[in-house]
Amino acid sequence: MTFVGRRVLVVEDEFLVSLLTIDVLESVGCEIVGPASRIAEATQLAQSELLDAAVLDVNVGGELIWPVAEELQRRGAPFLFLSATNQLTVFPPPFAAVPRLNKPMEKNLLLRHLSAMWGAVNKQQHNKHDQDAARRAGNPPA
Amino acid sequence: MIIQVTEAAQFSEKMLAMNEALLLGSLRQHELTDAAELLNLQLREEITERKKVEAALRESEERFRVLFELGPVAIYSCNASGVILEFNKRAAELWGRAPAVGDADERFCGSFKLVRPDGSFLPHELSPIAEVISGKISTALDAEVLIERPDGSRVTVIAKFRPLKNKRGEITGSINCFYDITERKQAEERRQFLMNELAHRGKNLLAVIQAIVSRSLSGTRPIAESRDLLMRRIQALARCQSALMTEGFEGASMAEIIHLEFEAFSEQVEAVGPDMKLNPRVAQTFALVVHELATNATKYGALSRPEGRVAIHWSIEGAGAVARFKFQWQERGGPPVVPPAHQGFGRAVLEKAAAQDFSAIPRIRFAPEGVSYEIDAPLSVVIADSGGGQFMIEAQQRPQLRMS
Repeated sequence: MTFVGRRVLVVEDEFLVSLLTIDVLESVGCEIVGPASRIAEATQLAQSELLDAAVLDVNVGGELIWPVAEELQRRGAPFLFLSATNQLTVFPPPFAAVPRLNKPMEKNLLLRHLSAMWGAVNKQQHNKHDQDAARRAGNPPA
Repeated sequence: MIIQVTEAAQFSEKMLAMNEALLLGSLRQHELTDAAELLNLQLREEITERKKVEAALRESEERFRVLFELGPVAIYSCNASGVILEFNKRAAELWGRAPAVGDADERFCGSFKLVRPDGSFLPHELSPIAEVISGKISTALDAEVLIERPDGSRVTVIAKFRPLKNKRGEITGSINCFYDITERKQAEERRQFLMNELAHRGKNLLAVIQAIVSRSLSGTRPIAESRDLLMRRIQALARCQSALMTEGFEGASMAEIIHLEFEAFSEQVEAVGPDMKLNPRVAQTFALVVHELATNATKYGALSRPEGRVAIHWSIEGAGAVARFKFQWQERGGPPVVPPAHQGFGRAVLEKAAAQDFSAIPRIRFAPEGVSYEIDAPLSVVIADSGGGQFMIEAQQRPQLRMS
């Protein structure tokens, strides 16, 4: 499984925290989309960017990540949660099976999860990405 | 003589009989008087006793009346159909209203509205008290209910209801008590909030340290220098933590962050601005921004020479939703500035971290006469949540901090 050239959306409201995620992902050759520090910005990126995966903080500047996760799920892009939230955070049913990683982040765990997600992504979803790319090329977002 | 004798004997007999009768009469009268006196005495005792009992009863009634009115517990009573017969002052206070006593439309509870702990509306006819009166449940002890007052405010109460029964065991009404636990509830919520906040901040802080370590140890710097940089950065974070601790983790005082960073340079640094509280997220970034500026100034800028000066100014401009927070850093009297060639962690903090966490584009200038740095951010983004508006007024009235 290669990480090189994989486009990963990073959503994190604290820049210094996102810095580490970015460092880890860039060290294995991923391309970073974002980092987005607001839900509106992240949703826009989730709608318009070609994405292989996303690493999502749960509480983003006081707002919850769910609209972004919904958009990613709709597009078939795999994602995981990386947050400092505790057991009290209620994850909506559609995201119950999404991997949850705790802060501070463990590099190998993050990479293993991404790798597993990409292993599970089938041809069909790759096609979907191609379609997305085609749609984007013909109909660029405003 | 027989006659005489007879007469004498008869006379004597009659005398005796009369004497006896007289004696008996006197005795009877004596008995009667005694009996009457005894009765009188008993009656008097009984009356005294009854008066005592009545007085005791009255006293007890008064005591209970005072208790009823004075006690911190709300009390009211209902008849068999739930109509309110009586309620005390505390009940009216907690209900936020005084129901009409005996009104058939005011049954079971004098409150405006009842709400279940889960937030759903609880009709009076379905409340625990209604179930006690209907005999559905025998008593309701420690039921938690929310009372919504006519003004919309809410109080959480614990209620106890007990039915009153006649000799045949039929329910004739109920006695109901409830007391306010709103403050306890709020304290519990506050504690929960603080625990969560501390756990969250703790994890985030470790994540930030992770990033700082990772960035400080990368590149080609000698290890001793990297270690020094790293230690200082962690100390800057620690200073921010103590500033946050002072304010109960609700925010950190701007002046305190600056003061702690420049303790060693009080001769060369002048800081002027209103005291204000930054929210925890911004405070951490701000502490690092100030630290990176100081580190740079100490190594290459104004603080590398005794005659060098740093002027720090911050202000709140405008009011309400459009109010802005402005921060300025100006170095003077240092060696001629040479713009740095590479982008290290310090630059990332000064440019990107500040941009992201302050929702502003910071301006950093490497003019030959001295480095300058400016942030112009929405006040709402940087200021601590609690009483932000109030704080702004306060911020303008308070004396300015000067370090020189």
